[in-house]
Amino acid sequence: MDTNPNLCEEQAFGRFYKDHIQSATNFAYFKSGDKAGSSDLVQEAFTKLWENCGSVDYNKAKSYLFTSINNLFLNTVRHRKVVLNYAKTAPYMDIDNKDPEYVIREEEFKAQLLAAIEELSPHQREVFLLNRVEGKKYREIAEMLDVSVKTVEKHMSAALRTLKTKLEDFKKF
Amino acid sequence: MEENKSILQQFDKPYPDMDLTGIENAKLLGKIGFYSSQISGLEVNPEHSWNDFKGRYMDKKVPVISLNRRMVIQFAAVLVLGVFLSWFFLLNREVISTQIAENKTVILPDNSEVVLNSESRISYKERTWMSDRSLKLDGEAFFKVEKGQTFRVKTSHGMVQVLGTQFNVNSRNGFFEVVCFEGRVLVKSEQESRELTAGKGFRILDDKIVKLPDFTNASPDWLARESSFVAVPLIRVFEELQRQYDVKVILSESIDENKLFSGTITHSDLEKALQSICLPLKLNYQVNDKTISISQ
Repeated sequence: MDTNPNLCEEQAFGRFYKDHIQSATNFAYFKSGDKAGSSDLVQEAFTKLWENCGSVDYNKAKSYLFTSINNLFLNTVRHRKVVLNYAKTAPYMDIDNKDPEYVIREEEFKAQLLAAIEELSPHQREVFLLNRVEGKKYREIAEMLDVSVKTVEKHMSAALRTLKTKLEDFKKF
Repeated sequence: MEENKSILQQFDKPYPDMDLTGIENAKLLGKIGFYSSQISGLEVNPEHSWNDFKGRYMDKKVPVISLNRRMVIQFAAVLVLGVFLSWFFLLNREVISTQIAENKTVILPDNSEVVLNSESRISYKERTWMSDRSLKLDGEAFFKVEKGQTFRVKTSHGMVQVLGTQFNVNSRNGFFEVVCFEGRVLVKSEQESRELTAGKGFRILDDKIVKLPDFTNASPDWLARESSFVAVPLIRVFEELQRQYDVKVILSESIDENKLFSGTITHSDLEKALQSICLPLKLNYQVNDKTISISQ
C-alpha cells in the first residue's frame, strides 16, 4: 500500500530536492526580493525537512517545504528592501516598433512596474510572480502554500488592482 | 468578491468590452501581464545545488525517526531487553556500517572518534569499552584516539595497536594499509610487526609488504571527499570509485588491472574523477547510466 518514496532515504530525498529546488528558490526570492538571503532560507528549509523526514508525509512534503520557507522568511529577512530585475533578453511588447519614443515609454513603464511590484505585500508579490514568471496556476500555488484557491485569487486580484492603479498614467498609450 | 472575479477574468482571458474604459483597462492589464512575466527568477542548477547541500548539511545529521515509529521501536526494544537481558549485558556488540557513497562519524564511549569511509563496518562492545578499547574493522576508517589504555583495531589482515593518536586503517580484500597522522601506532600482521610514527605508512598488498613514501597531511584525503592513491593497482582504484559513486566499472580485457596508479580522485564529480584516472593512463571511458566501460 505504501508506495510513496521514503524521504529518509538519501536518493529519494535527492530526487525531491532536485525537483523542487528551483521553484522553492524562486518562491523565496519573489517573497523576499533578496538573492543571497533567499537561497540560505531555502537551504534551511530543506535541512528542516531532512531532519523531520520521518514525520512528514510524502504527499505533504511539498507544502511543508514552502510553509517552512514562509515561516523562516517571517522570522528573518522580512525587513530588507526588495530588489527585482528583468531578464537580460526581454523584448518589448511590440517587437517591430523601433520608434525611440515608444522604446523610452516602454522602458519607463517597465521601471515603474518593477517598482510597483517591489512595493506589493510579500503575499501579493509571491502569488503574482509565481503566476507570471513561473507560469504556475492558481490551483498549483494554493497547493504549494496549503491555502485555498480563493485566497490565492484574493492576493492575485489585490496585486493587479494595486498595479493597475499605480500605472494608471500609462493607460492612454 | 465580485470585483476579484472581474479583474482576474479581464487579466486571464481578456474579453472585448464595449466601452472605451474597458478596452483601456484590458490593454493596461495585458501590458502588466506581459512585462511582469519577463522578471527573472533566481537560476539554480539542481545537480550542483544538491551536491552542495549534501556535503554541507546531510553528512553531519542523522535523520530523526518519526514519533509513531519511534514508539513502536521503543516498545519492541523494551521487550527484547527484558528477555535477553543477561545475554545483552554479556555479548552485545555495537555495529555501525556505511553504504556506498556514505561517510559516518562515530564517537566512542571514551570520546575517541572514528570516521568511517564508504562501505565499511566497525563493531565493538559498548559496555566494556572503558576497560577494553578494542574494535573490529572491515573497510576503511580514520581514528582519533583519546589518551588512555591501549586501543586496538582488529582486521582480517592484522591488528593495529595504539595509546592515543590519529591514524587511518584500510582493510579490504587483499589490501591492508595503515597510515599514522599523529603519535605512534603498532601494526601487527601475520608477516610482520612494525611501529609507525607520524607521517609514515605501511601497506600489505596480496601478502607482500609495500613501502609507502612519507607524507605530511594531517588527515586522510577522503575526509575532504577525495581519495588519494600512491602506486595502487588500477583495479583497487576502480573499486574505490565504485564505493564512492554507486556505479559498476567494467574493464576491457586488454587492460592490465595491476598497472599502478598515483593520483587523487574527487567524490563529488564522477566525470572529473574518471578523467583523473583515465587521462594519465591513456584510457578511454564511457558512462552508460550506472555502468562505466573502460577501454584502451
